[in-house]
Amino acid sequence: MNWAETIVESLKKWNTSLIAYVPDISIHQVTSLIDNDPYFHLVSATREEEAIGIAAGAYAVGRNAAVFMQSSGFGNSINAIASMCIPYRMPIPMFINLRGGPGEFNIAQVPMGRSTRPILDLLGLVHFTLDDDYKMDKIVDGAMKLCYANRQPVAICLTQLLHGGKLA
Amino acid sequence: MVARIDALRLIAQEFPQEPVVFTCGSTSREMASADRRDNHLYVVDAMGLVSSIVLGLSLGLGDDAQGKVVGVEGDGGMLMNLNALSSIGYLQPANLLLIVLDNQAYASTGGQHTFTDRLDLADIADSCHFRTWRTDELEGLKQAIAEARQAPGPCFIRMRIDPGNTPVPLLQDDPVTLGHTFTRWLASNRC
Repeated sequence: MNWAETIVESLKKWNTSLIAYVPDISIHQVTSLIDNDPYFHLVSATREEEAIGIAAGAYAVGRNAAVFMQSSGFGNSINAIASMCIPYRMPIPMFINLRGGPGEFNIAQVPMGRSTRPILDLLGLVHFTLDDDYKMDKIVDGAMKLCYANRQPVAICLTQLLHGGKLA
Repeated sequence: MVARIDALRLIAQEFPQEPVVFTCGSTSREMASADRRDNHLYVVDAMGLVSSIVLGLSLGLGDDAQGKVVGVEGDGGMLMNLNALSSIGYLQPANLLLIVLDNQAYASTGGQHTFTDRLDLADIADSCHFRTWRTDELEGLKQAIAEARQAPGPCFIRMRIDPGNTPVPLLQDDPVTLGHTFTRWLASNRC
């Protein structure tokens, strides 16, 4: 099972069937699997803040929902996470393509990419970073379990070392 | 011109058995004060997110949806997340109704003007393929709601209201309780 298939399996295991996302070339490896799997309802949002709102609404009606986005999009979504998910305790697993690390070609991706995890820390949110697929099934599975037990968003940061990144 | 709290009272009466999500600031505060109900979700911050939350509710309910899923937004909040109109218009959820109480002002922050004195949000909703209604009277709101109930696809009511707020207590409940009340109501009434 490759890294993208591992994520899909874990989403299913945790009954997380509504996926809101803003397209990203690396995360496309996962969202294309999701799009072709009738288990899931994949919803394209125009902005990451909106994806968080959609996931929050789905969770309110008892349907677990995850969000896929890039680290720059995490920047767009911070207030929705901080003022909706956290105070209302809405467990939304967030899969973030973490830009700005080894292999980054775009100078403008570095500041938001590098500050994503410190911001998650400031918000008090648990996050995991995957640089390779070693123990990846256990980490993703454990992150999902923690997310729902703690009823707070959890971030799973996916780096270029894991997914190969974007060709310049 | 109608006061916001009177428009809210009418909305609460018209939707006693359907989920209604209220935007932050004076809107949630006045609604919780005037006619608090378990089928209401009061969003105490996250300005602009109501339209996205009701889209998630609508998608999450899917075929289980009975009646409407209602969002009550302000003009400032709607302008902050206009892109949600394009997402809703594209997806065409059958049961979604957005009601924008448009006072042409950021009334919760001191009454600074928004752009809706020159732009009509219902025109933007029109171009995003909503069914739309425009009114500035309670009777018109009631009529628009009755027509929206019969309309398939996303509906949008733009109602002009008075720019003032009604003095009511702050809404300082724990959001966990606000959310739990709403989700428990949904679980026992919709699924």
